[in-house]
This record gives sequence, C-alpha cells and structure tokens, in this order.
Amino acid sequence: MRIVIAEDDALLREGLGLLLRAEGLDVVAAVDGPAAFLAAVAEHAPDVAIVDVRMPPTHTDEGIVAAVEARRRRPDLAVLVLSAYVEQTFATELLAGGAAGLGYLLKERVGRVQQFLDALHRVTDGGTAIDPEVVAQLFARSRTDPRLERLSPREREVLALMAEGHGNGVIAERLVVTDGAVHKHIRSIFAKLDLPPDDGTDRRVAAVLRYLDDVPRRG
Amino acid sequence: MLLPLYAVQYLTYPLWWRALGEGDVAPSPGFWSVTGWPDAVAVALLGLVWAAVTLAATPAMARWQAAPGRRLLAPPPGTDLVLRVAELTATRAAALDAHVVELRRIERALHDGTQNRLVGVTVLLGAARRTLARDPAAADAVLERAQTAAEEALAELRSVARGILPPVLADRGLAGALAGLAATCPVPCSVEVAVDVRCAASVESTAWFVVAEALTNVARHSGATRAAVVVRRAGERLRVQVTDDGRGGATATGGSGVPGIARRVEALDGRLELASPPGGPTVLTVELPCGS
Repeated sequence: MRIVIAEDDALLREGLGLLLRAEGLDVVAAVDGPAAFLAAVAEHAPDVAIVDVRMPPTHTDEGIVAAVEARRRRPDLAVLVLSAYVEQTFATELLAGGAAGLGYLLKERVGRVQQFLDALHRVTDGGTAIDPEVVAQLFARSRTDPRLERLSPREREVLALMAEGHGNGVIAERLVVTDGAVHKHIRSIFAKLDLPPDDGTDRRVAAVLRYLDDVPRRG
Repeated sequence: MLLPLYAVQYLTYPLWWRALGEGDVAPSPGFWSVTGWPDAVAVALLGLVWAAVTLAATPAMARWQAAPGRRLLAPPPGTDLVLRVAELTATRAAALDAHVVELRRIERALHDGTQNRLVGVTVLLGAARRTLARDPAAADAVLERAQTAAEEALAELRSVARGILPPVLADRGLAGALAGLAATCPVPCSVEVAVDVRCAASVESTAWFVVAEALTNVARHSGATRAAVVVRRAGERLRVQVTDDGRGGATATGGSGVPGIARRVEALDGRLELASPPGGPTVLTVELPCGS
C-alpha cells in the first residue's frame, strides 16, 4: 500500500509516518501543503492519501479542496481526511461525489492504531470510513424524521455502524450477534426507510448517508 | 406662569362667583367691583382674552428664557457631535471586530496548536503501544517523543492562556508586568512607568500587549542594541512609548505585529503613531483613554 501524507503540523506528520512505517506500510511522501500534495500524488501515484483539513494558506478547508481536486484528477485515489473537529459541511462536500474510497475521521482516532489501520485499509479497498461523531451528528439532525422513529433501538445501532462504513461481519462482531441477524436487521431498515435493498457496502453507505443528510432538508 | 392661571380663574368665574357671598366680590384685588351676572360674564370674557394672550405669548417667552442658556451652555466652537458619533460608532464596530478577531485567534491557537500537540501525543502513544508488543527496547524512544509532545502541548496552552489576559498584570500591576517583559527581551531594555493609579483592566491588558508585540518586533527586525519603554499618564490618557536605536524603516502595514497592535488600540478608542525613518530610531507611540 503506497501512502501520501499531507499534514502541515510537523509533529503529526512525522508521528503518522513513524506509525505507518512501523506497521510495514509504504509512506512514499509526507508533505505540508495542498500544492505539494497534488504534486506528490501526480509523482508517486499512491493508493491512498491521508489529508489534513486545515492547511496553509488560510487554514480553513484547503485539505478538502485539495482532496476533491486530487480525486477529480485520479478518480481511483482513495482519500482519508483527518480533521481536528467535526465539520458537517466538509463531510458533505467530500462525499458529494459518492462514498467509495473515502474516509473522514477525527484526528485523535489515529491513536487507536488498530481501528485507524482498519479504516485505512477499508478506504484503500474502495470502502468508506466515517467518524462515529459525524454519524452521531447526522442522527441528531435527523431525529424528527418519522421513518427513523420506526426503527428499533437495535436497528438504529446497525444503521449507525453501517453509516460509519462497516461491513456485515464487523457489525455482527461489534453487536455480538450472528451475520444472519445483521442481514435481517439491514433488510428491515431498508424497508422502513424506503431505500432500495443493496448488498454492495459502499453503495449501501452512500444511500444511508444521503438519506441522513437529506432528512433535515426534507423537513 | 400666572397667565394660564388667570385665564382659568376668570373663565370659570361665572360658575363660582355666587359662592363668594353678597356684595362686591371682585376676582382679584384692585379689580373693578362685581355685583351681578353681567359683571361676572364680563370677567369670563376677560378670561378669554387672558387665554389668547397665554397662547400667543408663551412660546416667545420660553425662547426668550432659553436664549441665555443656549448662549452660556453651548459647546465650544469646533465641536462636531456628528463627527464624534460617527467616530464612536466606528470604534465600537472596531471593538466588536477586534473581539471576533481575538476569539478566532484563540480558537486557531487551541485547534492548530494545543490540540494538534495532544493528537500528536495520542498518535505517538498508539505507536509506542504497538512497538512495545513487537520490540520493547525501541518503544522507549517513541515514549520519549510522546512525552516531549505532551510538554509542548502544555507550553502551548500556557502561551494561549497568557495571550487572553496576562495573569502577571493582576499579580504585579502594569509596571511589574512590563518589567517582566523587558527582562525577557533579548535586546537590553529600560522601563519607566510613571502612573500612580491603575487603569481599567482592558487598558492595562492592551498596553501590555502593545509593549509585548513592540518588543518582539524590536528583537526580530530592528537590529537594535537598546530599547526603552516609557509609560506616562497624560491627563485622561495613558501614553505608551517604545523606542529603539535600530535600523528603522518599520511600517504599519508590513508583516510585523503593527496591524494587530493598531486593531487592539483602535478598539479602545486609542491612537497609534509610528515614526521609523530609514536608519532609525523607531518610535512607537500609543495613547489609550484611561476610563478612570
């Protein structure tokens, strides 16, 4: 797995590089700004890019803009965005073109190395990794939706894990139930939310995220 | 004052003159005698006249009375209140603006400084735990870096907190706080504070900020060998002057801290002056209304 890191904070950049190299991953470049990032992507043709949201010059959304631009140039590039705090609009902006091969995580998740590596692998393999905090905010905004209220508490848990980008196996493991039970819950959720059933994980995540994101707009 | 009373008394006279008893019951001393209804009605007519006079004369009298007041109490010539209101409106906007800028600066410092350091700590700790499982000897080096990052986070946090309101001001007053700043300045710096009473906290905090930024500029850009800070009370204003013998050429717009100083000074309705000819010396003067 070839990785490019774009992070303007030197300590974090080095820390990430150290961590990933120690895991035997191939960090081909670690840069400190959006321009250098786009150049590194063009030069090294990485499989995945880890990008900080706030970078010079204005320290607002340069990372998102650069990530979207890099994906426009190389649609198969997987991107994992790291953010100091959850900014809903950034997540929406990033996922506007679909959720496959995309991730949006809070920076502190990196410290839970195994989970971070899982997310990184999932994104690189074309999956999705959305921070639980983002999903929680989506749920909070959508809580008045009558169709969501029809879900049982267990179905809500399954939906949240699905929105984070987890596959059936991980969901079953986390909730300590069988694969078959997860499958049943998911069918029930899609029926209650009037979503077309879909077994492909990334399309499923995209459908769920779009649904949650649309709820406040539908009012 | 008496005119409207006369008008009322005379106008209503026919209603109550009978109650005064028999004989001559004139409405006021020195009046002709009133002995019957026709006289009473005549008094009422006179009341009408008084009412007319009241209406006609009072505005002119009021103006006449107000004239000396206007003359004596008028603001000195050249005072333009419209201009003052516009200035206050602008400085109030600047205060709000400076407030937002200040909050954004603090938020930035917390997110991009302190928080990043702490994230760095968690990343390094995560890496250390993984290394511990594989190669315990190598883990110590990673832990060492994590500890350094935690210490940096603490230092960052202290500097952010200090930038909000320097605690040293509360502890040691403006003179002590400025002496502390001068002591940490790499360029030898004298401090003279001749202020007998304390100013408002916002004024002292701004004065401290001005000197801190100015001395940072002196140390970074001026090439000076000596600097001097003089703080004096000039009437209702606090006057802060920072002088250095460096190469001059400082501008109020460049990449220095001067725009930041100007914003904070403006927010308090103060004035800033920067004299820095090429070759020096540089003199930064700030005047702040004391508010006490």
